[in-house]
Amino acid sequence: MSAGDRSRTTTAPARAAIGIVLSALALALVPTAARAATTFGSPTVESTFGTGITFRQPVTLDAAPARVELLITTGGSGGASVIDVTPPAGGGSIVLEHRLNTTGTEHVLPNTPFTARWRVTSAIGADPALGPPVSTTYVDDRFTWQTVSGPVVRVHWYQGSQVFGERALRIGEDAIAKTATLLGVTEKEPVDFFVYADQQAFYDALGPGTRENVGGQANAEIRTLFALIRPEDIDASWVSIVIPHELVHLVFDAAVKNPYHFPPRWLNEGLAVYLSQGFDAGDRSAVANAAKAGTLVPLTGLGGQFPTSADAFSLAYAESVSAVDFFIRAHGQDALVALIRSYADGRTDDEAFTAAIGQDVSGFDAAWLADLGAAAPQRAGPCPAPAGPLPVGWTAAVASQGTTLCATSGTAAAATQSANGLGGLAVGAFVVAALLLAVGAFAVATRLTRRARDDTAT
Amino acid sequence: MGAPTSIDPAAVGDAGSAAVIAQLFETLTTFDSARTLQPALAESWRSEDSGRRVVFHLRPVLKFSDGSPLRASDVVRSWLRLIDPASPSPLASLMFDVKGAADYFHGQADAAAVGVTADDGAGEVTVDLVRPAGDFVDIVASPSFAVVPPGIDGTADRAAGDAFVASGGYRLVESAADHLTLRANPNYWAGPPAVDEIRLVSDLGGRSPVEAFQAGDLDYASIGGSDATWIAYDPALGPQLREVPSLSTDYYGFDTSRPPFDDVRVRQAFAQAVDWRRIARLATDDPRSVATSMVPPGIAGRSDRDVVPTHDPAAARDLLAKAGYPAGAGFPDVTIASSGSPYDDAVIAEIHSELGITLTSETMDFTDFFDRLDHDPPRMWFLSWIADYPGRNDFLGMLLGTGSPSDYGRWHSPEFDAAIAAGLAAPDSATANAAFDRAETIVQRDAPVVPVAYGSGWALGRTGLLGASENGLGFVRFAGLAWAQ
Repeated sequence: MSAGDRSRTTTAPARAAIGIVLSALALALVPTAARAATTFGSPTVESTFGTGITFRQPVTLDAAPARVELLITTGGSGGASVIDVTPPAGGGSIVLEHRLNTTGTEHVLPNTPFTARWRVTSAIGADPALGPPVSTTYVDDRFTWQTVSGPVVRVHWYQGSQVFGERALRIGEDAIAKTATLLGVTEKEPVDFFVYADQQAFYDALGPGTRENVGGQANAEIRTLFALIRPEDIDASWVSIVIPHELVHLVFDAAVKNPYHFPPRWLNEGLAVYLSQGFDAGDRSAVANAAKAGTLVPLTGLGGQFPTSADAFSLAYAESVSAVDFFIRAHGQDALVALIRSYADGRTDDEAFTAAIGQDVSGFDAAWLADLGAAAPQRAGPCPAPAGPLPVGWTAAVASQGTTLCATSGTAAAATQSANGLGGLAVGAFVVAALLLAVGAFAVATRLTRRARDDTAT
Repeated sequence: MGAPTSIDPAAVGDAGSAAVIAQLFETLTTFDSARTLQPALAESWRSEDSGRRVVFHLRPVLKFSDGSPLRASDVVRSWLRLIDPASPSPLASLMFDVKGAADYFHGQADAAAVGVTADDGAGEVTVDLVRPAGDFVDIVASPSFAVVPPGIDGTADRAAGDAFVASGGYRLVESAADHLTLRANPNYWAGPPAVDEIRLVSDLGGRSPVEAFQAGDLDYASIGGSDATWIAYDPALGPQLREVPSLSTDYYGFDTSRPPFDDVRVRQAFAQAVDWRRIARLATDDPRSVATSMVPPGIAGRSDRDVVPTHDPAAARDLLAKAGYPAGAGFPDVTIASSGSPYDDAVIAEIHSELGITLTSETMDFTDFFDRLDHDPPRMWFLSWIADYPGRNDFLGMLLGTGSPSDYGRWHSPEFDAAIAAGLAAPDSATANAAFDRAETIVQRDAPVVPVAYGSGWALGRTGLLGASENGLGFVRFAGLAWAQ
């Protein structure tokens, strides 16, 4: 059977969950694209932040089409997201309409550009007719934004003086320039930087699921940075950390961009911390203490998501900047540039590291741990699930993984039950998220260090 | 995977739906977490007529959840629904080894001609097969073959509640927008399941499954590999991390029934222009995930030969020129369609750089995409296929056999069909595997599809939760769960 939705890296916008409305309005049509059976008028699009985006397309049809689709592309996404729209029951002049829901988990980040086209297929197997494009940017229209622009960065803010905006711009431009120099790239495409002045508005902009410790978020797909900075905080020390940190991510993303593989997260975050605040005493202490306590996570364990608990999350950042600091101390800045450029060529982690420093990732990981005087971190999992009750006549499965590793986990104590389902076992409700594999994330959030979050306390 | 598209076994073809169906409706046989075939509603089975007939003997006194008897005739009725020409299952071809099944499916015979008969008195279901098919007892372990109560037609998706009638371990008592609630079936053949109520959550309101698990809101959660890397070192979560086998293959397919991919040279050009192994290695970051054939590891009899097309861009350009598209000139617009692919950007880049062809990609809702594959296949598409049962033919004849509803590219190869038939009819496993090897070689040569990567998975299972093991077919058997005392 089909494994279902495997949209592990899709960047398509969340699909609308609300109904389709087809209006039988008679309109004067402009035949911008004509096929035998379909004439398109001028399409329109309207958006209201936090509510939805409505696409309309006047069209004249000879007969009821077999299929009507709305093709949507967004900033940075390579392909179109296709939405099947219920076709009208008959021909004539009508307005095709679709409303893209942007509430709740269908959230769309502000500043996301949309281009839409309608596609009408008269009969299955026939060539479809493609309507003209219509574009919009999904703006946070709750505020009146002021804008100040530099060579690369455009700062947008709604509370505070011109001085505030210009101060944010300077921080941003300096960060872009510094990062571009270090990574050996030139930034030309504009970066939008939206500054929110209150927490709720900021969280509403980032969408549901935003963690409390998020003070800024960069989205490379739309080259946009969002930050929570009150006007009175613009000169606070953490601001000159938050802004560069997030902007480093955007420069990094552009520098390593390739269709094959993204570098490990520790490298991305480590660079961001290194360039925004350096490998400071707090992080040094955190890493040293973890090395002593044997609680370090190896770099190979920090290639994807970071731990969720506050302490482990903070340590992951500290480890990341520690590793970047070690990389530069051991191999120099030129090697870092070589590493980044290797990624841009579409290489595996091992290939990129080997090309840059003559060591694969494991080798670098081991050298970093040795530099710290740390023992190799020990795995705590995975572990096999302890056996459950089996029907009479079934033989127990043999555990095939992690037996030694998990021998002391204690979870297998009741694994010998073999009754028919009631063998003295606890009965209770439990919740399972078996349906939750596909996240369909539109934005890849980057997060601030815990320290920066603490400084941001609002 | 998302919420189930349907809970009717005869209506679905996706793993997400099957994972729910498997809890509600039981099959005659089933695979346990070690992928050992076990008896479920059938107490036993025997092979007759040199393997051309299988007789299933049901357990005594089987009941649906409402206490009504579950008889052999219910099995036959349920199975015939799969090939009902009025509303066939997307996986109807699983039945095609049964005499008369294909004819009924194609509207060329009536149901009475299908070789599945019931003897309610003896509690037996007799299946007459078109060839010796030793794997039929494996095939009927697929959730598609689950036994449903009378009167389910057209009602399965709106029947949640106290009146829901199940044959599986659980009844569906609530169907909400963000979750399903299942309650133990007191009349389950193996006895009432140990866990009385289960909630299947499909929307966490933006939280990650890991966060929800840590908060204690979930007791079992599928998670991504990008979380498993750090969790493996977490002293609290690590022991609760489960490596989940997945008998699945990611592959690209072509519509072979119309230009340009009706020309085998064009398919071969695409197949050889792209470095599929490297794309998979880079996308998955796991060398074990790189596909070497359509059949994933873990399938009995699978060959370790690498039969993915050879990466040879020069040969690809030559083939494309011979097909009438030198350097891509005159090549029609082609869009890769999928419900989400991690490889599209790389494939598009390589086809462009090696062949001079600019492809585009489109992503659509899975249900819409699956419907499109069934009725109007795109010229090129991406799909992930997970085993209905752990057999090679589920990834070969099922997906590429002439006339199979899952042959989305409408490929027709008598040579391939003959190899599959020989494999299915083989008297021993060595002969069968040799025939399936031939079939794989034909696929490599003619490139109706190109495998890219194999699936893998991770989950978090609460300490003390017993039996939360997946079998590679996409689901946990909830009736085998219990809490440790």
